Amino acid sequence: MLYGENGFPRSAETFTKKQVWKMSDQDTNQEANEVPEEVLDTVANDEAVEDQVEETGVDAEQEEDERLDVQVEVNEVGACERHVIVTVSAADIEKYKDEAYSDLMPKAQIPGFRIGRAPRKLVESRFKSDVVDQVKGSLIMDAMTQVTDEQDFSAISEPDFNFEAVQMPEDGDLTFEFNVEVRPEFDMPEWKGLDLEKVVHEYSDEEVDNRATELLQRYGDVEEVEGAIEAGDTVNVSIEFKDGDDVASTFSEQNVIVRGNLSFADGSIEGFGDLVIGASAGDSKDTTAKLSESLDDEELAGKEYTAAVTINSVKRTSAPELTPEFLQEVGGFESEEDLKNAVREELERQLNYHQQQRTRGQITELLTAEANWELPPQLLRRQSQRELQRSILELQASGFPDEEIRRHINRLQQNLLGSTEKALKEHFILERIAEQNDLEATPEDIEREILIIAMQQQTSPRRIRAQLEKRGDMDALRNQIIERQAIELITEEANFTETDLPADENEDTFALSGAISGVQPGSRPADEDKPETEEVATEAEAVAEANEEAPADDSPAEEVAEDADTEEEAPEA
Amino acid sequence: MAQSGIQNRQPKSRLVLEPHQVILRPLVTEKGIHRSTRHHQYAFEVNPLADKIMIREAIEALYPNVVVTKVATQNRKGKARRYRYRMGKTKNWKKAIVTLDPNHGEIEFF
Repeated sequence: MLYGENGFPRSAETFTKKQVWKMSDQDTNQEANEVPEEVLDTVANDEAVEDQVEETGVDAEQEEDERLDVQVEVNEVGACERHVIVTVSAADIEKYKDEAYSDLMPKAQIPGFRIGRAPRKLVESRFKSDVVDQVKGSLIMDAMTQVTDEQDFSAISEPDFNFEAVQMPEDGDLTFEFNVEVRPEFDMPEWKGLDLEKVVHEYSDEEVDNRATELLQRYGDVEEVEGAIEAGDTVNVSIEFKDGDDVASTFSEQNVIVRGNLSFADGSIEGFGDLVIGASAGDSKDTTAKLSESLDDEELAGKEYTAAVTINSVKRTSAPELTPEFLQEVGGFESEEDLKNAVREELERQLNYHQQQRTRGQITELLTAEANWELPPQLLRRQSQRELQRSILELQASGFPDEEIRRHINRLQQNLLGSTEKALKEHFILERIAEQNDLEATPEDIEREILIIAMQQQTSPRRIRAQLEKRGDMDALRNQIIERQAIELITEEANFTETDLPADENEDTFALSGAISGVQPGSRPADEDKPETEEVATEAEAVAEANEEAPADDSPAEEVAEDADTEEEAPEA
Repeated sequence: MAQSGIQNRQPKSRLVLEPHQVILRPLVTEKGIHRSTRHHQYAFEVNPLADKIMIREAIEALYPNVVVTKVATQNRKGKARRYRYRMGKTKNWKKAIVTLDPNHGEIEFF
């Protein structure tokens, strides 16, 4: 082509100055070679062709993109852990880089050039580090996705992958490695036709009466008592835990109902009842508290502390009289009969929970009996919080009072790892069953579940949902639903024999949520200290709760004690 | 006795500058790229004290295998800059556009 001395074209072809620039760019850029010479002759055609070239370029890339040429080496580290080494071929790296630069070209801003006009070579040298980083990111991401797709292990955790540690080689293959936790492989136990026991119990009038009395106790008159403490009294105590001479923690002015034992988040005072019964306000007692043997923290497990208990005051509640006005006030009951029906209903609902728990316990027992595969401790540790959360959710949905849930947490925390291991195995098995039978939690299921919890807690479903989402518990909820479905499935297939509710195996315990050692087990602190006394529940709450189809209240009287086994509870008869 | 030719050109006060003191930086611009691809011309910021001969020598010293056929220079006046209420000025500088012999080597800026 011909150019004048000033650099402008001088031929019969009509070039504008702008177009000359364009051509010069194309000369320096590789892409320009693909543009047929003659179409450059007119301005109008020029841009259209450029678009075309770009489009075909993208299409071609997408087709090639489908699979990366990766080599994967998987080593089994443990039953649930895999060490994965991935090698991505140099050709793929080149392709990714090429794409990245092509993307960058029209946007690249370099001083001395209009946007997108800088020659490719300059862009490459200028943006090298950025592009390499970006390519590294997308390459690893894609390779990982492909690896997880191709390999048939199902990961349960994010791979512990150190992005910074991966070095992008100047040329040659890219190699990176990571560890990932996978679902353990195990032989599916036979789950059809299990022999299960079903807990049934017909509540007698007497039991209902007892329960009602307990429930009503908080409306009773409260008196300060001067004399000796009896079981069931509410005592206001200050407790100081010492390890040798060091004060580990102090609890001041806690209202405690006198029962056999007093439990904390990480241990308990055994024989607390015996200690204080017979004493009176103003007395001080010394005893020992023992931390649970199965605490997460090995240093603390089983450790003993001396506890100095000071009794500040003693209160005793007497049952209220059941006048019609009183019944109306408590929960709009027409008659004593009405109240008793409500109580019976609640008892039955809790029995229902126990039935479920028991069935589940048995199923777990039977299914995990042969599951002697090992779970890595890190996995247990990480899952333990989730597990805790799950059981709280379950209790909430069944309408157990806060106090009881807290006690449950205390116990779980004391044996966090042990119970988590069991629960995890159960979870894996149930999940497998759910998978095999295409069980899934639909949005409606989740909605319903949230509604139930909301009803139990007297708040709006929206708030519950927000809470769950904020804490990242939606997954826990979903799992729970799926597991329940799996349990139902197993139950359908099982053979039942009926047994009566095991008699009162109550652990006679009152729970406080603080930790003796001063270190709360697990990261999530239990609820605020909220000693359960008659003052805690306001009248308004009480009425509202009593109105609720399933009254869940904070009354200390509504103690459902538990037997020592996990998740096995029996209402106080 | 008057001397002639580059080798002999040794005026009394001739400044002696190293090549890197003559050539300050290449000017990498769109226009520069255009000129280099079409006309084998390369632009540099050069020392304002340097003359065309010094520039030619410096270029040939800095870029091996390159033969300079022509050097064009421009003295660029610094721009007026205002700082608060006072007028300032960016420095004057010299631009050199060096034409290379296409039969020999090229210069790569990047």
